[in-house]
Amino acid sequence: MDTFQRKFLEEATDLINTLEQSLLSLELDPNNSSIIDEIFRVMHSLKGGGGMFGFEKLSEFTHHLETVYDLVRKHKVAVNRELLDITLTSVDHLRNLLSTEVTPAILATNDILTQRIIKFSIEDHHQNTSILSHLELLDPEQDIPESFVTYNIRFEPHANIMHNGTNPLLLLDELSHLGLTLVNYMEHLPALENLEYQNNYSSWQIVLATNKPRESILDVFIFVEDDAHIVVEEIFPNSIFQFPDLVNKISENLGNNQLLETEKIKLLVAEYVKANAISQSLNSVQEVAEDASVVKQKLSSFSKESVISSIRVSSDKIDQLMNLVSELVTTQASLSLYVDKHNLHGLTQISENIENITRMLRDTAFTISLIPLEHLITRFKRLVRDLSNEFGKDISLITEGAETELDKTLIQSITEPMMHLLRNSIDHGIETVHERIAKGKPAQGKIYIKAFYSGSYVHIQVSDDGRGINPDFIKKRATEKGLIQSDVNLSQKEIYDLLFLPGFSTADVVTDVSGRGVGMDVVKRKIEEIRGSVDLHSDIDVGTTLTLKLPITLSIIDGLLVNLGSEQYIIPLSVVDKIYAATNNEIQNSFNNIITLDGKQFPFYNLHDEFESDGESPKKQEVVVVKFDEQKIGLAVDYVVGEIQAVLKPLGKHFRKQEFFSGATILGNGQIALVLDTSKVISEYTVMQMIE
Amino acid sequence: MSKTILIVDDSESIREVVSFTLENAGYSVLIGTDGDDALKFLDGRNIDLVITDLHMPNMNGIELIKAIRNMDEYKRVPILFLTTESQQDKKNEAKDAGATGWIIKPFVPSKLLAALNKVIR
Repeated sequence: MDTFQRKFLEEATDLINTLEQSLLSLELDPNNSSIIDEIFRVMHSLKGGGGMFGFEKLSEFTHHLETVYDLVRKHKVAVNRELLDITLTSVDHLRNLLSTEVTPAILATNDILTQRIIKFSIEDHHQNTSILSHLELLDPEQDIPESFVTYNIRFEPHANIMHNGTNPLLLLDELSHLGLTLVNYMEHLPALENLEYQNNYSSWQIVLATNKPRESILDVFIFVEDDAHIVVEEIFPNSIFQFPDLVNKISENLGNNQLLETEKIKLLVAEYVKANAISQSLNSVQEVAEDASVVKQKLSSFSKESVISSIRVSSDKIDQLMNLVSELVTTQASLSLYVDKHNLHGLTQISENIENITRMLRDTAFTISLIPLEHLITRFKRLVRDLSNEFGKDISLITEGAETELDKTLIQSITEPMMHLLRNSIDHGIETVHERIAKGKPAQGKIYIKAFYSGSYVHIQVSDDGRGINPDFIKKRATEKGLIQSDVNLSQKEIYDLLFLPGFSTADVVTDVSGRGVGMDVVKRKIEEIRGSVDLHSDIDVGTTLTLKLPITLSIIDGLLVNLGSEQYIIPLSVVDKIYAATNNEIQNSFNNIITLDGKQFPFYNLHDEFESDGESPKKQEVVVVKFDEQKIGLAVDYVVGEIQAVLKPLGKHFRKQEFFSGATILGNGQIALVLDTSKVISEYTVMQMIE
Repeated sequence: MSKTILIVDDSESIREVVSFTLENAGYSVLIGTDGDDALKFLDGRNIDLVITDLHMPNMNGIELIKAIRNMDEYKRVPILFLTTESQQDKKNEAKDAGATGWIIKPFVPSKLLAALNKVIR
């Protein structure tokens, strides 16, 4: 979350408090126009700020409130108890909308409240409007909630289900992603002498509330249709999870290794519905309008759920959590090592459990600190809007994959570089309207931001449909600046790489926006600092695309642990292409540091010599081939120990100058292993080759 | 740690489409061109999932599935097979041979990954 957003959050919290106070004063003094003005003003600020800082739902919701209070201001709607009730409920709801994660429960509340509020502005304004015309006025996509249905699902796998590699737990997990669930686990173990360890004796009952069609439930079980008894029955035409008491009641009846029959659940639901006078078809606008008291009841249970469904935590606490998890991963590794070494059978099971839990904890902790790119998009949109006005250009920003999530520290690190890339596109990339029309392009220029996952990386592409970059022009400029000799032959890619050299600015006119001394070299450096890379592709008059390749998270990497003498090093697994065996003889007697592996030639480094490691390399060594861009290079090591999950720690300030290592990690046995930055090793090698 | 998937298919284009999708999703991929070829990979390696075509020269998919299930260390490793909508009888034959599930050709990457999600994590 950026600073602007944090500011807005603080501000909005204050505004909502003010709103609440004013509403309470209004209740005592319903005709006081200055209070009404104050309420209107607060709503207006919330709406405006919400839209600008990425709280679209909040903004949209406040818009409806504002409409009603505008009518109040104009004396077209009277202040009465009902109006104040719904507005105060809305105040609570606004607080929920400010939380970073808007849950389905909040969204459902949003839709219902919105309908109620819209009803005010319509009904009180045009007394005769029928309910039906409300329906037409509602935006079908935004205002009618997807209808939730609660199902009772019985999943009773046959004894042999696991014989063909099926893991029923994965299916349960998949099911839980469809909505909210209650799970009842049952097992029917035979007598010990009949127990077949490969057989399954478990079955499950799942109460699922989902807004997905019934087919998607059946789809979960598609592979096991013939290997299990599966029954899916509807128990309630809405979500039972909006009624905590009901959920508790049902939970109480689950367990004891007993199946709770669908009819029994239906009975429980019916009893609850009867006792609480809840209409079953809560989705119907008509019923909502007819029975306001029911809605209120429902709302209160809704907001109860919303309160606990999401909490806001300061980022310090998350950092602390991540640190502790990192420590735990290391400690757990040393526990596993100890147990293995001493062959402690009693501890093996415990150690493995801790390993599993640690892994799950780590994954969960990671997802906590991931933030969708969406948080930046509003800022980018604003930038594009303001700058294109400034330059008199017509540019629209199109985003794709804004829901892609990145570590929060990464989001902070890419904001500036991304802004710079956008400025470049707007200033240099997109032509003026005249130029574009002359070239036969549409008058409106387009900038795309596209984000997607690729392995353990996130790619963010910033592209424009502008004039592109002329390689000849770059070459000419680089020659003028003395960066290259005029007669060197460079590939297109090498020419574009010149753009990333320090002090290379090609703008013909140094403008307000670009000529700020922040060049592409800074972008590249910033991105490389977070172990990412930048790639540029350009076609003249078609456009330019910059691709940022970023690791999803910074603090833990999957690595390959290798041995050199008595030292151990880690090579990030993401760059490892293949591992070959080679004899010490081949490595020592290679010509020009080229080794032939599996019929292909690779340049290579003998790390044992390069790092001046102690001891002798063994007779049989291994060569780890790593890839970077299009290049592959071999790294000869004594031997490969295996894969390891390394918690990356930054190197101390004394080592800041060195470039070959991106960090260090503490191994389970307490030893320190340095993490190789292979891209640096490769570019160093390339430079060496060029000098030779 | 990335999971290793063995892909077996005699069609190069299918192999490429599948391996491209899986590698992008972060899996390590091994490639076999037919049943015989695939068996070489299964010796002493840690494979988390096998995806195989059914129609292949030398050793076909059904035979491969049976062969894999006969190996002690691969009794419970999930096996998915590639099939077309029209081969309902083949589907049963493959399941009887020990397959875990199937992927219907033609498929889009998301379908492939959704099927994977049902059998490994």
